Amino acid sequence: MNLEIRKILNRIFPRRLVIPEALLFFSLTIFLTSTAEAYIGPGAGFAFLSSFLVFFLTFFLAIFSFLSWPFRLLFRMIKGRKAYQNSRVDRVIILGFDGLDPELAEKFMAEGKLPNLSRLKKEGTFCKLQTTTPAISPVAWSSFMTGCEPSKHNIFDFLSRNPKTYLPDLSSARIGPPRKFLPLGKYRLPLSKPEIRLMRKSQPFWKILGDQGIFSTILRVPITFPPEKFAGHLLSGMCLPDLKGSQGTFLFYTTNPERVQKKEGGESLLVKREGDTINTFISGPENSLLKKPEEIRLPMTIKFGSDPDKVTVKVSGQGFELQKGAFSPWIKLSFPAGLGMKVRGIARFYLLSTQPHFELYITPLNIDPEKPALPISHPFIYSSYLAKLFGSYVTLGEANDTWALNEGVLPEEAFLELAYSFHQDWEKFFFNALKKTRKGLVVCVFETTDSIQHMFWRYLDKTHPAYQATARLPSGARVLEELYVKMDELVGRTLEKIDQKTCLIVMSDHGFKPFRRGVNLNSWLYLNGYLSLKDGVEQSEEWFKQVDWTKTRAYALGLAGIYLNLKGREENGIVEPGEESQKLKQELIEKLSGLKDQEKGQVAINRLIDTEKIYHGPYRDNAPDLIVAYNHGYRASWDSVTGKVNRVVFEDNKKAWSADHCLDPALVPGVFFTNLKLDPKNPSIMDIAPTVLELFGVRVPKYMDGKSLLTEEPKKFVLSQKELKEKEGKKVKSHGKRKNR
Amino acid sequence: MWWLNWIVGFVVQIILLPFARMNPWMGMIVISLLTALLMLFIYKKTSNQAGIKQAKDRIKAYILEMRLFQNDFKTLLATQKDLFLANARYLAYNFKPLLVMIVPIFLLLAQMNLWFGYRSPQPGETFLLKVRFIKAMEVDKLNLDLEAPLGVVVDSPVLRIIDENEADWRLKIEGETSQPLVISVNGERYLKEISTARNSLSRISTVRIKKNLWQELLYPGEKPLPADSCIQKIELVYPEQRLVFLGIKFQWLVAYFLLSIIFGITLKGWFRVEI
Repeated sequence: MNLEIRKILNRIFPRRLVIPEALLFFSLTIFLTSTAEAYIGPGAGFAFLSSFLVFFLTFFLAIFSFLSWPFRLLFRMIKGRKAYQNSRVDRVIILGFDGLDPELAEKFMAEGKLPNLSRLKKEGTFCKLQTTTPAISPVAWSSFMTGCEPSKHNIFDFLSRNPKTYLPDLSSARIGPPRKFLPLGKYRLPLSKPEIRLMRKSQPFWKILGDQGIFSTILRVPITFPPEKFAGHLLSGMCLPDLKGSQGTFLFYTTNPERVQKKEGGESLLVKREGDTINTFISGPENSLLKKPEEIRLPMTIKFGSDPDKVTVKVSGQGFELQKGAFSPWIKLSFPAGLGMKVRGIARFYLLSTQPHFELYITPLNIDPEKPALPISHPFIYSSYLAKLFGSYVTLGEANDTWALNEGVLPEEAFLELAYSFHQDWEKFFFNALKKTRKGLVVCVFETTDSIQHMFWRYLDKTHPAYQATARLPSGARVLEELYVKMDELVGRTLEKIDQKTCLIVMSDHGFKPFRRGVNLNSWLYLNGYLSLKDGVEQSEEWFKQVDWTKTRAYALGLAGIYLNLKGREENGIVEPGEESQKLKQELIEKLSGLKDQEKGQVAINRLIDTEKIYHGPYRDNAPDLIVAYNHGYRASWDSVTGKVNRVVFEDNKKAWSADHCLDPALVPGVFFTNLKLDPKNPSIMDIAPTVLELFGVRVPKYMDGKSLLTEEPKKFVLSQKELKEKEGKKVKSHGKRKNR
Repeated sequence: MWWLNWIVGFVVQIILLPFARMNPWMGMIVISLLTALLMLFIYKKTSNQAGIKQAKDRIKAYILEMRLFQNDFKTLLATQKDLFLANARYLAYNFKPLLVMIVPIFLLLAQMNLWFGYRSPQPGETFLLKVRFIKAMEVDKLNLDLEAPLGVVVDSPVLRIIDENEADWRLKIEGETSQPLVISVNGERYLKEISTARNSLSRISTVRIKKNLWQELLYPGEKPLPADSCIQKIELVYPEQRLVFLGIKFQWLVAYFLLSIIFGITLKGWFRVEI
């Protein structure tokens, strides 16, 4: 072929033609030489070969797409013949803002700061959205997607308890090792797949839509790990673990011995500076290939240079510079597991200080979305596709590192910077999905709203115990306002992209209230004789370490649940099911409902809810026996959540985590905005699924507890800005014409 | 230009000489490996690595996108457009390192052609000697003579091809020689190296050309003929050499192409170079 090209070019360019320009000279060299000289090196080889392959592949795929199109169309017509047949809309878009509070939203709307949400309120619908009992994100979002109350989807909290051990488990998923191994020296080769099981039951409404041939893109909705198969794309969200299998463990390195102490949600390491070097390691996942599993450690060297604000980090075969007060991009980390296998993760680094003490923060080790160690999307390639298109991104379910801020490791500005950089990535995914899903459903949940409200609410209330203790950000008072404005802008940009056949829903799973005082229910149970400690012990370490189960009748675990130590259910249960348990429940309800915080003179617990009376689904037995509905300003204390027992029932919350929603569900409804003109009566988060199904003309399954919010054909859609302008343009035009006449 | 060719030739000789008596694949493997390393170095130093990575990632993303949205015809078409654009961007990013790389690789290839391109004829084997003259010369009126060294026999009288302005002889190898051929044109003598080496890998110059920048780059085996020479080019038409692997005969450039790509791919991760 090259000879042919040469012949053609020889005809075009006479042999004696002198071409002075070097560029042209070298370019022509490729073509004008004989076979031996045509190859200009492997780099060129790669470039041209791969480009040619891409062109070839594209061409081939294009031809294949053209040829197979009629068959696929036919298949889809047969399989999904009823899709969109009775649909009232082409597309439904759900923007989920985790924890967006109706009271704050109304306040900012009244102040004119949220023009897009105000427009939806004025021209469409706005109301409060009832949350679940308890008002916790995994519970509420599970009810959102299934249209069911919690006992039908089996998610009652972030944590569930193992009745055999009284220890907590992650409620949403089980990740276990493979069952069969082949021993090989110090290794054991897995012969079966590891156990990765979704504990959420029932089915999400996008699965029902998919069965009817309606496509969906689902982004970062909580409790979608491991991803389920359905007709669409899904990127898992909240509860997806990090590479260590935790819900997010940051790393903190310091040369200051005073700063090394146990950090909740993280690990701190004391490092030693020797000359201009620190030699340390990144602690990675446990190596399950080993017969005796141990943590994989990645050596890391930190070099100090002449610039006091910079260090050079060498880790995982790469070197990069870190500037004080600036985040690194995502750094790829490969943890060698042996036998040539690697576990791939990504992390961002933040240099806190170099003098007088060196301090470095590393985000939790996220699963690398390009080569995920666990399935984090459906189809499996979807996470890789997003990473290739937009670069590495946070995959951890609880992406925002609230613990690092809570524990005083990450400064407030840095926390916000990191949170918004994650948010930007999610926006990119969302708008990409919006562009590509011209018909069907798009759901995207942003946790930014939840994390920032948890951490910055204290700036709204200078009497908050955490305000004096932790508020250091000069612009702190504006953080929540800016958050709401940013979300409103996102709504505005979304409105730009939709047409009259698109239904937009903006919603949240719950609202927010300040968290000023913590209630240690386990301490209360202990002081009131329901929980016993082992002989000679006056308090218990976390996870009930010193609790005497043979004498304990009730215990609290998680954010809102009280469990009876029931005979036949709990390993060392002593309460007889039936009359005794009913009596005990009644006793606890009576004593704890209206429980007063004597120091503050306020009611801390509004009521206790007997789950037997509100749950009717098949998983009711897995639920706590009682759910505690805390009053405004109160929540389970940090110690209570982790099963610590002492003599202190009430204590001030001085952590940056200064607001919460794990209180009486009636106090923390979410928001519901839509561009449809509806008139819902007291809508609930469970109503969204049936509403969307009905919008697409799909029959609502009877097992769903929610009810469609549509009463008749939607009267009106809020127009997009573009359509509005077009409409206004037409009006002006016709008005002008009339005038001219 | 001669000094440049001499330096490059010397370097290549240093690299390949230890393999002269071994299977030619050995020399090919070593030089492909060194080329791959040179290419990786040039790419690392001269290219926009981040840009190349991004362009490659985009290409991969769009290929995945075609798989993900295979049922959406409109999206599929838009993706194909994006894919072509990303590919063009990738090529654009490659342009700069390619420009830098062309110079050393071009010089190297011309030298490698001397080592791997041809083999010396076997004793008893005939081959052609072609002498092409400048256009001003009338080949039929020239007084031509050829002196062959010991071990080489002139097997035919001179054949004058007027249309091509060329004079050809058929020669035959009878033994080893280290002396050149001497071509006399109207009494003026021109020398041409002739190789009868038996080594499996040896440097064989088949062409000597008149002084000319471009031609010198292409044929660096011998010092060029003077600029005022009446001869344009002297060429020995030797049999082409093939590298045999599992019974398959490879043209040296193909072998070099494949090997250098394999080495490049294998080593790029080590050196963290995006290609």
